[in-house]
Amino acid sequence: MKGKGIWRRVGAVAVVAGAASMVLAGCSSNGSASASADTAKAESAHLRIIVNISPNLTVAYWNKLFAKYEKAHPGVTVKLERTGTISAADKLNQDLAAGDPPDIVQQVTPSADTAKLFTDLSKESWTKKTPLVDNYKINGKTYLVGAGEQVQSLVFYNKEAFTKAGLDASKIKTVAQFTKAMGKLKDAGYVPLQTAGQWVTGSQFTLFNDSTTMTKTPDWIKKRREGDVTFAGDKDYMKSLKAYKSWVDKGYLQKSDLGLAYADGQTNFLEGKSAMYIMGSFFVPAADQAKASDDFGVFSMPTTGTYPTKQFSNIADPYVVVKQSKNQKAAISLVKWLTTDKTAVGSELAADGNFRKGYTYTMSSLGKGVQKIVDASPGGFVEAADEQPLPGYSTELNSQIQSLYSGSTPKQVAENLDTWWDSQTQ
Amino acid sequence: MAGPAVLLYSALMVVPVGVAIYLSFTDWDGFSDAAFIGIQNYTHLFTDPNTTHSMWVTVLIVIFGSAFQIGFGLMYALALRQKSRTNSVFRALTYYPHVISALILGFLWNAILGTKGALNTLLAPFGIGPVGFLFEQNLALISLIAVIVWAGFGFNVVLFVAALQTVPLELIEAAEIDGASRWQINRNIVIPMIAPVVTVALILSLIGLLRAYDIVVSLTGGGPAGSTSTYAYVILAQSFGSTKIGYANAQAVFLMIVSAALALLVTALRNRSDKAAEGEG
Amino acid sequence: MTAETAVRMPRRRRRERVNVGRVIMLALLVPLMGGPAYILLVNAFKTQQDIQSQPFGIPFDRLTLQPLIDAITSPEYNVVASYGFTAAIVVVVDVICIALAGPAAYVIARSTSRKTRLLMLYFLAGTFIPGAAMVIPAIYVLRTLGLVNSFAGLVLYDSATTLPVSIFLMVGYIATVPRDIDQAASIDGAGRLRTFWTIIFPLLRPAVVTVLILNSIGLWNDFVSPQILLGPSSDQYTVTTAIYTGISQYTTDLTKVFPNLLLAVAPVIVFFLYMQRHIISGLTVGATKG
Repeated sequence: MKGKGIWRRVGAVAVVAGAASMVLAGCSSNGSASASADTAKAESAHLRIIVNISPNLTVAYWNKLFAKYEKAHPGVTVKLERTGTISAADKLNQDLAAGDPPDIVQQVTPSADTAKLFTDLSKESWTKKTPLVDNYKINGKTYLVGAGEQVQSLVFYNKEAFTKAGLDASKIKTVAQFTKAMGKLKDAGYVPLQTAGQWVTGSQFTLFNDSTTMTKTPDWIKKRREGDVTFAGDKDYMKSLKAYKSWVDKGYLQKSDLGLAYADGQTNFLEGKSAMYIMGSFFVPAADQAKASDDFGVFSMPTTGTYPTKQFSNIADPYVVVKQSKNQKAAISLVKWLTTDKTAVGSELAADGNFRKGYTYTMSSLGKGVQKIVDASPGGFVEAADEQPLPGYSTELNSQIQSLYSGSTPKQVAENLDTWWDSQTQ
Repeated sequence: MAGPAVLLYSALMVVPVGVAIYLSFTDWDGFSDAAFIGIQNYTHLFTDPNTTHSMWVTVLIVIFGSAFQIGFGLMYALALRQKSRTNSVFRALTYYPHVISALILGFLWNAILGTKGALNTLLAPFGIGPVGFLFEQNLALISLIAVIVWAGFGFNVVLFVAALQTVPLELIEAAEIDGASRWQINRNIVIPMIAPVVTVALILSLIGLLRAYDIVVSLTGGGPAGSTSTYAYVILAQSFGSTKIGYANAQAVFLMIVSAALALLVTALRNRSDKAAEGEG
Repeated sequence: MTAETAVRMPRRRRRERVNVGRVIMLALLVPLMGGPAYILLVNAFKTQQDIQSQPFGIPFDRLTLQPLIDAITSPEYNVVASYGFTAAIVVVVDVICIALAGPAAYVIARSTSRKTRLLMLYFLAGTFIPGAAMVIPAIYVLRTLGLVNSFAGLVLYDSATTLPVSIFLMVGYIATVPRDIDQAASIDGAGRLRTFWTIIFPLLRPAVVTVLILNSIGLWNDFVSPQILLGPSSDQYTVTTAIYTGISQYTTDLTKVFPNLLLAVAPVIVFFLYMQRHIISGLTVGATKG
């Protein structure tokens, strides 16, 4: 049979090829393991780092930044690790599960439960100079350091839209005034408030509500963890939900925007299709890049409490070193560079529109506007450490807020949030 | 001779099942020590709103997806059973999505049904605002099921055509001579004769839809508001990335149990109806 | 009367009544099934502007190869680069599968003992286990074996999952091979294993082709296993994981989405067109035996 001989030959070749590739694969993974063990001694290392990729912080940007470090530290290579569409925290968990974690991770906030995964940096004296380092301490120990801070209790607006609608941004301080402004903008032919799908919907609501709640009760999240307060029972939460729902009902927020990705929503706003956009200070570089900064203004989040509220603050470019990493020294060295080296820090701040005492960079008019708000605010609040919501909360909140567009009531949303929160027994 | 197969299969399929069962009774987070917590994870399956919602979504997909995949498969198989060049082309046309990865099909349909997708761009000039195929909660689920049916019915068409072509012509001709209509012939002769194949198709459909994951990742990402998050999607996209590994394993074990139960149930029902049929015939 | 002529005859006998319902049904197929393929093909050669404004049109004067070229030469998540790696996985798993499933199926098909019937059930149970459920505990097993995030680990896992169905199909087919052949071989003094590979196996071509085709398609399109078992740290991408990681970054840049999807789909479609006959006959062999 003709088939027999050919089968055999094909089979033999395939088996050899397969065996060879398996051996090669085995060799390469063994090779890198021994390589990193050796290089720890020889002051060279291969570091893997998970970073946040966004329209501002592109892969190209990070590679350029790391190239600078590699040049100054021959023998060290830094490799970006991508996460696809999942969050850095999830990716880290998956990598840990697979027994193959990276050396450094960005965008992961340690909690009391997860602190043991990360290297304790408290003894490193340089960490004391990094911003917001105390807010992120767990049990008095430092695991997280960052390059700067970002603020997010901001509402950006299209100047032309405001002129057309006869609005003065400096007069919008209360939620009632905010809602009224939206009505006028709608009449002037604009989509009053820009939202998007992905994580944007829930995030914008958090910025809106938490600016009020956390200013009034700085330990509200801790209280929720301990069960002393509930979403449904909190007056401010309910007020925020009702306000948001009223905007949805009146068409100030567009349901079809839920189908937009974060980048698309931002583009819509930049192109002047919508009038206002709740977003963090990292919007500024995007506006700068689109050469449109002068067309936009910014004001602090409207509130039902005292104005201005504290600013929702986040550490920017936060880094943790994974304890299981085999390149501790090299990793800590890179993190130190990323958070204390003037060139590195300056670059990270400018790229994402972040702030840090003692660092200035040429800001656009919009950037200056944000700086003014930061200077005028009574301070910031950080949702980390004790004030960190339960893991998964932002995803759940996002789902719930999106359901407001499909007929859920504020009461249902609040109750669902409570049910979800309480069911997370661990 | 069967040794190597048994070894590989046991090591990488049976042992993991055992590991999953073991871990499902613990609170393992992926890196610390695991503590035994009894059936807590299993009760949590029914108290966690995320999980219960995904079960509901999956049930809907399994029921409607299978029904339409089998239904359309049968309809088109009956229409395309004759051997001809045109019919071959049409059959290939129904079947080609099956050879393409579900992930890719999801991205393609996302580009078609999205807010700024091809379909909405087509409808825009007629004043029809962007239709929420993928961002309107209930509609998104319908879109998901529709895409799943679109991708899967062709497989059944091919299967059923092959089975139909084994139906002896004499039976059909005899019935025609007796004056039976095509509909009656199909219903009373043809379909019962291909019943075993339909059962196989049904089982494959049910089990396949229970694990719907790839298509969800690329078509809707589980959204909007979790309305298209299937059970498998919750396991892989959420639980696996969290620190609740014990829970993820409980979810996995539950899925295995349901899959097996469903397959056995369908087989048992068919066997019973077979015996009943034999009794009559 | 052979089956072929049996099916062809009625067309001469019946009056050619145009079945309107059938015509409508088939006519619907063209836009429904052909539409998405058309959109994929056409938009891979357009500019972003054209894709967004006229997704169904073909602007002949503005068609461009640039997006496709960019996709082919992309330094990241290169789909074309992933062809080789994915093909390697498919080939190795196919070989392991046949090498293991063949003899196992032979033993099961030829034996009459109760024990082997249980063995068949043991393997059959594997067809019910959903991949999504199994891949999570599998990661920990592979981790213990030191094979996580490696080509070897992924390949072994994939091979294991192909065994149940492959064994099942081959058992059904081997049962149709007369036992006299085995006996003739053993008279000549050949051992069981040798008998299988030299005498029986060549007779199993249809079943082996079916198994190879079914497995190959499934493996090429598999997303869950490589996504979970072969993370980005391994720096290796299959076609599916390359598309996933690449496209999720570019959902707004349609000049990246369409060409990459086209590249991902092209090999499969070519394979499909070429092997159509085998694929379909293989499927039906499998199903009707079931």
